[in-house]
Amino acid sequence: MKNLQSRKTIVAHLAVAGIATLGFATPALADFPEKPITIMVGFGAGGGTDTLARLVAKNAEAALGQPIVVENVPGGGGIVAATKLMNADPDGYTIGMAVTSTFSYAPQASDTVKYNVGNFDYVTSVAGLQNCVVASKDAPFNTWEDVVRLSKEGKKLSFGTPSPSASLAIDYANRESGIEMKMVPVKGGAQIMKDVMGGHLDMGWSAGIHQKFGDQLKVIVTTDSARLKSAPDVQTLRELGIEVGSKNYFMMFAPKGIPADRLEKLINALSTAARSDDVKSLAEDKMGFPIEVVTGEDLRAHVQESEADYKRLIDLSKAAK
Amino acid sequence: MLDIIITAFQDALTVQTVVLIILGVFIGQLFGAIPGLSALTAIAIAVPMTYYFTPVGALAFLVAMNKGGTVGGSISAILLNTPGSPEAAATAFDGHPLAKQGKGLKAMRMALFSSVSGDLLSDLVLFAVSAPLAVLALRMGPTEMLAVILFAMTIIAGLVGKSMLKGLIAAFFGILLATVGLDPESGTGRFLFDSPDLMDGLPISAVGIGILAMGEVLRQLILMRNQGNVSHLPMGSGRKEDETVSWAEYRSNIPTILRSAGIGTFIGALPGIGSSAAGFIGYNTAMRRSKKPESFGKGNITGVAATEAANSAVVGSNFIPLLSLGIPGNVAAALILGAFVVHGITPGPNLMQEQGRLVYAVFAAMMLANATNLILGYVGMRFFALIARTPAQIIFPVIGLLCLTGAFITTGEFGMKLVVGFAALGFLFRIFDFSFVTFIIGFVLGPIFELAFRQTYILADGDISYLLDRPVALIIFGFSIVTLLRTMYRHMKRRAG
Repeated sequence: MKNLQSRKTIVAHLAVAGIATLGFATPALADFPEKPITIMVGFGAGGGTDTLARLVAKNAEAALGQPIVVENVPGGGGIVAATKLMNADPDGYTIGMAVTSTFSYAPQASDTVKYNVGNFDYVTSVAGLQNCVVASKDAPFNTWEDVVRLSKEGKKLSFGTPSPSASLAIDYANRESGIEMKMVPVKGGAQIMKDVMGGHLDMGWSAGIHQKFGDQLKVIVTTDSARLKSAPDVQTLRELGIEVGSKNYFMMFAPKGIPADRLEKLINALSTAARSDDVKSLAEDKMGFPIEVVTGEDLRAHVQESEADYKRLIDLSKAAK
Repeated sequence: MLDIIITAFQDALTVQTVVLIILGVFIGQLFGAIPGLSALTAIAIAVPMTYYFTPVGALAFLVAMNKGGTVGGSISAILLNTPGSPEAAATAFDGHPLAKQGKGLKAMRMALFSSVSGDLLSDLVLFAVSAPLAVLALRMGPTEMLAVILFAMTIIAGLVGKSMLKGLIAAFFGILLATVGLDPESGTGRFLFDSPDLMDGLPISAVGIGILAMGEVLRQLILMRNQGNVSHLPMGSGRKEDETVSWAEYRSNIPTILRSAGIGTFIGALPGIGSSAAGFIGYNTAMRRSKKPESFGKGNITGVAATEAANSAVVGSNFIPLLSLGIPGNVAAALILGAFVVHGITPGPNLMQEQGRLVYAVFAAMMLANATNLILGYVGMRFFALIARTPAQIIFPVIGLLCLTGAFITTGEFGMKLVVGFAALGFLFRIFDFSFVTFIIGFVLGPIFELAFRQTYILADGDISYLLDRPVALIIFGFSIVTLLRTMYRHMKRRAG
């Protein structure tokens, strides 16, 4: 088996060398893709990641000249899909879609995760999550300063968090502000919005879903890297001098080692599709996620930056305990 | 207002939509009736296809499948004692004994009528009072949910079986297996054995297929191993009263159906508890209310009616939190939510204002699907009854294969291995008379119980006055205690007497 593979590689090298010396455009490689491409989505059918993946796929089919099959491989916030993809053949026919924290946070948080940032090539981001802290419109506070003041007056506020990575960020902000909160784990963003509107939780984490509920909810502070398009007046934690809050993308990735020209072709087709009017109108108008396209090595740099940021937060959190 | 409704009906009554509804109901019933598959499998496969339909067509098709599945699910439970999903498990309690008495068609008819009645009533509630019921969902915070789940558990505890001890062992084993996966608070892995596949826990579909369907297949095969070429079901007597449900019989079950439909509608309006619990609660409530509780489990047709009306009623009212808050109550609703979003419709508080016409068209499609469900179900049951009479040595191996196929479709190779393991467990449960009902309920309600408990614990922050400030939760906790005491009293009386 191994012999056969190395023989294949030698033949391929010879072929490439031969073609290169002859100065031909490489027809065999330019033909990629010659069969359908599969995108493994790291989340269940029907969610935001799945919807975006399917829409981008539909819009990229024409450019690639092949159908794109979307397969849902949910579990652990994209971990199952990333683990499967890490071991997939890097031929360009199998790629994946997940979010930044699948690569930057998960490997640091769990021993079960066997991959790291370096195991993948990064294709393109599609849209940016809109991370922020929201409260019911009737809440007796409007800004993070109000929250800090109320907490210091002795009221322990409750906070609905969808994931340990969100808790990590809020815990840090609380320590920096010298306050404590009741951190309540809640499954799913919509459920958090429900409990906040119903008055069961004082605040909650939203990755953008709060926009669906109009003026029922107000944004207290932004936990993203920059102010949100949908709430331009609300400050970020960083503006308040609290160094937390990073960009999170819905993004496409691939097993490491795809031939450069194939990767290039995928990046071109998929990032163009992500910018198409079709995807833009659904993502921005209906889902409330602004299209943000970062590709290839720039996207890798983004993931690495996020990884370093989470490492700092995890180390600080350990030191605080 | 009225003109919107009329236009909406016109939208729903196009040739394309009607064909899609009929096709959807048919597929839903077929997938529901085949053990190992379910309407959920069909919906999961169909969702990506519907991206190319019109919005009304896509939603009508998926809703029709969902409804068809509620009818189909009763068929394999009654005829083969192999419920395809936990929601129909209680249907088999009395449905299968009836089939064994040659009254399979009668049981299936009652299941069909009750299922469609329950579904219809819950749809009407959805159309009429969706908004106030959405407020109900809003009022139910973590503590109130904890109380409701506890209450559901104490009601279902009545189905513990002959031995309280064995029933509790099974229930706690179910809860133990439900802890597999990531800890909801810290994200720490529990019983993962280094397998990322286990991060989201053991898939309910694989556990359900293994314990309920495949375990029964194993038992039947071993039971019938020397019996040669015979069916596990007797020939029908051919007598009309053994095959049909008379108006008098339906009428005498109307109180049960209404009560079960109410239970199912309430549970469906609260996201997260689900149709399995509704089925069991409907069954047990009917048994408690009955003058002859001892006849349940031996072929009392009221048991079939109670279960089917309750689990089907969840399907309609599940749309209340889905449409008004964008919160899917179960996996099928989550898939349908995805279809909404792809067609540019975001369920939420403004849906009615922005997309009133579409919502009414979906309502019209629901009504049409209910009617189709009734007609197709009525025509189809003879066909299924005929297939079920295939000799046991042929039909049970085929079902076994279907179970494995179903597991493969929903959860891949990993799911197939789980089905085999849980089939062995289900077989042992049956042989040693452990209640697989309490096991399944422990498994299904375990995760939401744990989450609600931890949320309440964190929110209370060591202060008992937090609980005292929540009268709704306190009242439901009170109900739970009363129910628990009554169940224990009955159990002891039965053992003594």
